[in-house]
Amino acid sequence: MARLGSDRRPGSTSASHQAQATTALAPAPHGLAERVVVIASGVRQPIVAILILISFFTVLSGKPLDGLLLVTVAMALAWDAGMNSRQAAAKALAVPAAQSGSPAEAHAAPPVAWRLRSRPPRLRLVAVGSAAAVVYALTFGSFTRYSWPATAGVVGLGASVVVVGWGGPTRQRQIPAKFTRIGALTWGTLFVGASLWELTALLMQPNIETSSYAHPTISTLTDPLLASAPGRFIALLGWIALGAYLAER
Amino acid sequence: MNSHDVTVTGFLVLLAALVGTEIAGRTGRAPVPTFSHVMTRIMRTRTGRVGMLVAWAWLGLHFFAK
Repeated sequence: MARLGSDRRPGSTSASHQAQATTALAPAPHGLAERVVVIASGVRQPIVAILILISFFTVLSGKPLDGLLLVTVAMALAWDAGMNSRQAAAKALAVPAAQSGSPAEAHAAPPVAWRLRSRPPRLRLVAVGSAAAVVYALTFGSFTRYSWPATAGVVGLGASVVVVGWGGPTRQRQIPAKFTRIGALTWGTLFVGASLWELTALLMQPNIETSSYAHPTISTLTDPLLASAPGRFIALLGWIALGAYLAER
Repeated sequence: MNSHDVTVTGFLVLLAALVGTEIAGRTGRAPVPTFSHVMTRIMRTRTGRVGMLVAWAWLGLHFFAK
């Protein structure tokens, strides 16, 4: 396992030297065509491709604003990934691999914007965070779905967590080694299978905006739960818990 | 068994497979990583980290926002 997210901060000597060297090695893209090439190389990242697919179906299902937000983040990520690949390639050409590490490692460890914790959060912080999550879920769960207050609450929290995530991890963590083929295949099959099953149900609806009893999507199946305030409270708590779990990765 | 039941059964089978894979990964009975390891591995890069967090934010938007 490789340990990522050491105490290195953007202002530290090693990080700034590395950034200067990388910037000096990688020429900035000139012209629209070169910028498109940078973005296109980033779009090859599976996560970026998945986000673009989600945004496509979000627009089709009648939520153009959500789709626009997703595709904006996807393009920003594609640009970031494309520039990282470009810098890693330039660095690999200029510096012997034995001294600088592989391009993949340089790509895998972007500078971290936060002071990294070495331990799990303190119990008092967990208690305060849990209480805040309950207050949040009670407050925004009391509003009906698709209302402006509910939208503001979800957009505010979601955007904040994404911004924090852009700055890198908030704690030191062990990065698992590359998985065995069977391990990657098992999880990949499950994720792709679940996505295809949901997509099939979606496409079997009378149209993409009308739900179907005969071919229910996950959204249709959860409608009864989310119709009541207690149901929305539980769902929002689950959503926050999942976000906290991901933010700790 | 009608098409509604088939669709719901499909989701339940997938859920059971996810739970089964997680249990197999945690107990070491099969050479598969745990869900936690998969997420940590995916989120080691900025692209993976932000991508997963945006997917999470989208879930909230999808179910609650206009």
